[in-house]
Amino acid sequence: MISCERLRASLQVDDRRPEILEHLRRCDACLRFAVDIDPEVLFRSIGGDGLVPPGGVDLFAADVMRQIELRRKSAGLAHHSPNRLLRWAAAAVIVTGFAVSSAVYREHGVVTNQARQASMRGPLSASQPAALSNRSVVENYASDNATIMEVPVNSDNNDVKVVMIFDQSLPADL
Amino acid sequence: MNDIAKLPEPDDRQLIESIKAGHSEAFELLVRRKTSKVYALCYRVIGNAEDAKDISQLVFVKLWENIEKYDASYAFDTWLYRMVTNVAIDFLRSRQSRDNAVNSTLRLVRTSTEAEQNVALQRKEIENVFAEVSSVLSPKQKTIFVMREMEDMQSSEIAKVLGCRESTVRNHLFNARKLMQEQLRIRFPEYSRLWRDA
Repeated sequence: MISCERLRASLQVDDRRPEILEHLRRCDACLRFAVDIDPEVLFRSIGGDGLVPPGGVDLFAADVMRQIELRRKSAGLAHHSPNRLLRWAAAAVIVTGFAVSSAVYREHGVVTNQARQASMRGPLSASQPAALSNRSVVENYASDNATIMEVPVNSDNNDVKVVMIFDQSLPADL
Repeated sequence: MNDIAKLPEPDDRQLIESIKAGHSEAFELLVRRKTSKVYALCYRVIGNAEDAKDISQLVFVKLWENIEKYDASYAFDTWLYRMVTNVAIDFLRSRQSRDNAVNSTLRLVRTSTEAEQNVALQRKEIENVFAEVSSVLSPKQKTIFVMREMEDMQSSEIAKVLGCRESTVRNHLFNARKLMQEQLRIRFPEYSRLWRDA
């Protein structure tokens, strides 16, 4: 290592000679002397070799190789995974299955609802649920005491649809 | 053990050819050879030993993944440093890393109060000062300052590593020094007097 006297005699601004920096990293007195000449040598003195990661180089290298081995294995698994055609086929099966099951569910749900409504209406409506839902219950009605609610269907020919009849003269249980 | 490992001192290019041929022993040899350089740069840029270790390992994993892309007509160290600076700068840019930098500074302050040899204490104090005053630098400014002042790299080499002009490197260095001097005046007046003539 260069001596303190030699260093102080030869030190210059922006001095980057390895032997100078090496000395400054070990000698506080010379470092204090050096920063008066070149303040940035303070931070320059932080540098230098000999920094090793916590645990040492052996452990560090072993960790790196382990990570690489893991990635290699996962890459190998990816290589052996189903190919694109197989993936598309699997996706198609899933979509088809979903569509079929949702159609069955919808159909089954309609039947169930209709059955439920039919059972609530009684035996007559249960035997003809579709006919009741599409055909008018009252086709002709005329009464001076009734209030008839009409909704226009076609504004051109004054066609109307009767949606509700209120008639106090009719029996309550009709 | 393959042939490359039996060579007395294979150079970087020989090692890389061997790695490309699928010899993992050659890669392990390269890791051992470059660990100190990679870790030192990461540590000085990041300022935290554990994070620097993680980032260094990430650099080597990336190196292994991208080794096929290495063009042997360029210096391997330049290519490696480019990878280190990219990963380290990305890390510094994240919010998490900012928090860690503050924490690491606090940790360094605590450890510096422990009984250590004078030289170690002095060095640790300077590291503390650097960690504090460099916290105002942008990740790129800090990386350039570390490469120039601590890793003793030439501006032209830094420009190659970062893929920018040499004048850009000099501008970053100039601004980094100015900012750090200001921070020294504010945070460490006892050190800032050293810069009175600078």
